[in-house]
Amino acid sequence: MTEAVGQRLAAALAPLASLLALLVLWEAGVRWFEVDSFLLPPPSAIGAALLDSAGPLWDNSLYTLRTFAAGFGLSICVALPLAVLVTASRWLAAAIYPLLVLIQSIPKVALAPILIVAMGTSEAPRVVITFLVAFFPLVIATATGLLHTPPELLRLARSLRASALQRLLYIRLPHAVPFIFSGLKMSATLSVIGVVVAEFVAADRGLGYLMTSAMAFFNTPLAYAAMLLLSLISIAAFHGIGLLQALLFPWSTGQPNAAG
Amino acid sequence: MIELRGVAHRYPGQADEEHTFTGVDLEIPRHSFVAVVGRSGCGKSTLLNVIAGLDAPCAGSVSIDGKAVCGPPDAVSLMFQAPTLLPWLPVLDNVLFPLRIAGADLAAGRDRALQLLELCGIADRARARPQQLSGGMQQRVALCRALVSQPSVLLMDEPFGALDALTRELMGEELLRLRERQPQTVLMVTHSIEEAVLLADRVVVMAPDPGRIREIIDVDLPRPRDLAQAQPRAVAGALRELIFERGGSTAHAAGQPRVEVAYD
Ligand SMILES: Nc1ncnc2c1ncn2[C@@H]1O[C@H](COP(=O)(O)OP(=O)(O)O)[C@@H](O)[C@H]1O
Ligand SMILES: [Mg+2]
Repeated sequence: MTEAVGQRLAAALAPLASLLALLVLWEAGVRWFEVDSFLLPPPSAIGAALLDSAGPLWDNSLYTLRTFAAGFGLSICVALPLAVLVTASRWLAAAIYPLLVLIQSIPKVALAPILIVAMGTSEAPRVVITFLVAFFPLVIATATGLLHTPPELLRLARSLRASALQRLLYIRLPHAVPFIFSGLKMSATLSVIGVVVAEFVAADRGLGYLMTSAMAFFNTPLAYAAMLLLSLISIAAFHGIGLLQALLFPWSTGQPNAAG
Repeated sequence: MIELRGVAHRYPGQADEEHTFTGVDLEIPRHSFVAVVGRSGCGKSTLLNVIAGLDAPCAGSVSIDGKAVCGPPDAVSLMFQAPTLLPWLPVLDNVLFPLRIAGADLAAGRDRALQLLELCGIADRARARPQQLSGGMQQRVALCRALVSQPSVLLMDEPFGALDALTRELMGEELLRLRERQPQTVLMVTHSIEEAVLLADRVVVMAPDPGRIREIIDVDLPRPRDLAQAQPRAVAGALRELIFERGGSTAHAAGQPRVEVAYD
């Protein structure tokens, strides 16, 4: 018993230990070779920037989070119905799918300045860019789940005289749940990237803006601090979605191939 | 009463001359238990699907209680070789699933479902997930699901085929016990000659290339049957001969002849 606890503790401590070792190595390396702080700041300088600029970092984080939530939310609202449509009929798939691939093939980073000119300096273009970066994987993941419903389950539904809507609600969507959640995880991390790209191009607030403006003044430690917070947002979203899945659909987190 | 008249079937890919099966004439009286045996690929599953209205015949007519079958009829339940349970629903909700789809009264159904689970000895697993159950238990849940809507016809495609021999025997007995309470017309495809002899009132032997009915044998034996006894053994022997086309000719007009087995 205590042995098992010890093992789990060791497993939890292992990444912390390696992270700590990396930080120590980083700090020592920067000091030893006397690297300029604006080229590569030591961890201590980044920590100091985090504390010194806690206020602006917090405000800009909230702003970035807001754009993230709007863009990610829009992705979900568009991707799920779109996936249902694409998988509903061959005709709809033929009509919609090429369009999706076209949108996906556009480099979003290149699209950002164009969109901002077209849509003005409000938050709207940043939300749209985030959405464009994030929604496609969610469509694909959801459509895959819907299409890979085991045929014997659909045969069962047909033998019970289930309508197309009932088949969707009671068979296809539940089966797609684990697929949807892996799509959500992918889409959430892409959303963070989308927000930052949009903020790089045009924004007067947000962590992406903070990074570019900090670099304009060679305040590299602050840029690193902002980057750290962006990673934290990304990680939190990823694990938050996993947690949500475990809470709402505990059956979907186990072995994906259980109970054929 | 299930009636098939000159039923033939062809899959989309097959040529005009080819058939999955042809000239199938079959009458299944109300409340009788009919088993279908035959070598793999002779069209047993397809025949079941045609009767279930999941597949359309290319010739002939199928009717249940005088009503022509087109599309899955009411009062017919299907059971497959795999349990085909929904992994996201607990056992009880899986059993209730047909009622939910039909928009039926779930409160009354719940009592019936629990009673069925009780009869199958798995009432204590009503809240469990299907994945947590053994194969035999899962198939019991599938049986309860097939019976919860109180069907008058039960179509089963090798329902116990994936189970070990002991569980299979128990499931057969359970099915007979459940039928005593509420008799249904049962058509069961099986690859087990023993199962057919132990359970059925009548056995349909199918032959391949093209699929057709080779013989129909009445099994007029008292129950419970035991393969250690001479008479069931004689029937099993006759069935085996027919399936492997050793005894007799194959020149019978499809479906019509009835072989009376000379017991002892
Ligand atoms: N979906 C299908 N498309 C084309 N041919 C099929 C299909 N399903 C089954 N068959 C063919 O039809 C024949 C009968 O199949 P089946 O009814 O499953 O036989 P059984 O259940 O007696 O083993 C087989 O030769 C099989 O290859
Ligand atoms: Mg079969």
